[in-house]
Amino acid sequence: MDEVDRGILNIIQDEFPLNKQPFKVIAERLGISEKEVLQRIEQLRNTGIIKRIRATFNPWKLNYKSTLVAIKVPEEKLKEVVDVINEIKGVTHNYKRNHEYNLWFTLIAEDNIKIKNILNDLKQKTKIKDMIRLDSVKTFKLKLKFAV
Amino acid sequence: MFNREDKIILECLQEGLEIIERPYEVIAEKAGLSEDETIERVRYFKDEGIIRSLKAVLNHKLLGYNSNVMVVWKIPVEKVYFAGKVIANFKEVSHCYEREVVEGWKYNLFTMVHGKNAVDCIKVIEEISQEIGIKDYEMLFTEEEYKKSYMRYFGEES
Repeated sequence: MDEVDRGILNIIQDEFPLNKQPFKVIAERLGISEKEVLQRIEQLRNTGIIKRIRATFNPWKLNYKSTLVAIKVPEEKLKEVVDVINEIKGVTHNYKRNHEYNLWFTLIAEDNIKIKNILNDLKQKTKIKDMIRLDSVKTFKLKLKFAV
Repeated sequence: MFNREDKIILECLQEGLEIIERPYEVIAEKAGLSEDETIERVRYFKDEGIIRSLKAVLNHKLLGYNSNVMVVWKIPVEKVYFAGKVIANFKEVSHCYEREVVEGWKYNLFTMVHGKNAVDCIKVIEEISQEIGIKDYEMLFTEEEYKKSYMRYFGEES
């Protein structure tokens, strides 16, 4: 990665141009050719640094609800419980953290009742008792941008 | 809520743009609209906040960001707005949410902090703690990522 790559990444991790020739817009900002931008982005994608150029949606605007759930799982049951949780379509993130609540996952579903049902079902399947559901009240920030 | 063309456009954007000179033209063809109409629809979805962002999703580990921490803070109700605004200004923070307090869980403000290593993260967190004047917090480092994906709202049955 050189300075030009960094310049490209800084632009496109912020906002991808909504223009008939988006790569040309990027090229003009950096003073290079459109072809070079395309080649470099292709290369950055091949190395895995760029996963995708895609849209992220606001679940609430699509009439979905989302929440964060934490559970306490005994170490010996962890793999089994993780497998059950990962199977759920609306679970997008499932992380182990260094806390007595050691497993944290985000859940998106069509409505509150669906979320409740999914969590009840999970409790039954895994026999997990300690589960907290932490709905968001206010979003102060949601922006993933890395200094490159 | 969305017509057939909208759903096609949204599904294409959800799955990702092609790295070609005219990526919106491909989507337009699939949706049976003109390129201009397609771009106009996307602009509308962005203006309405349906699309939060259209951008490159990067692999932060490959960029050297090996540490991420969820920090949970107990903030007095009257201070939450101030704290949320201050924390949002830190570039190392990607997410900052106020969440409901439930039995067995006292923390009401959640932040995700990213850094090259744990030491860097802790430095930022201490700085935040100073600025907002809150000492009651816990750092929950990520030990394992078992699932990291994104929601498919469009496609398949929809």
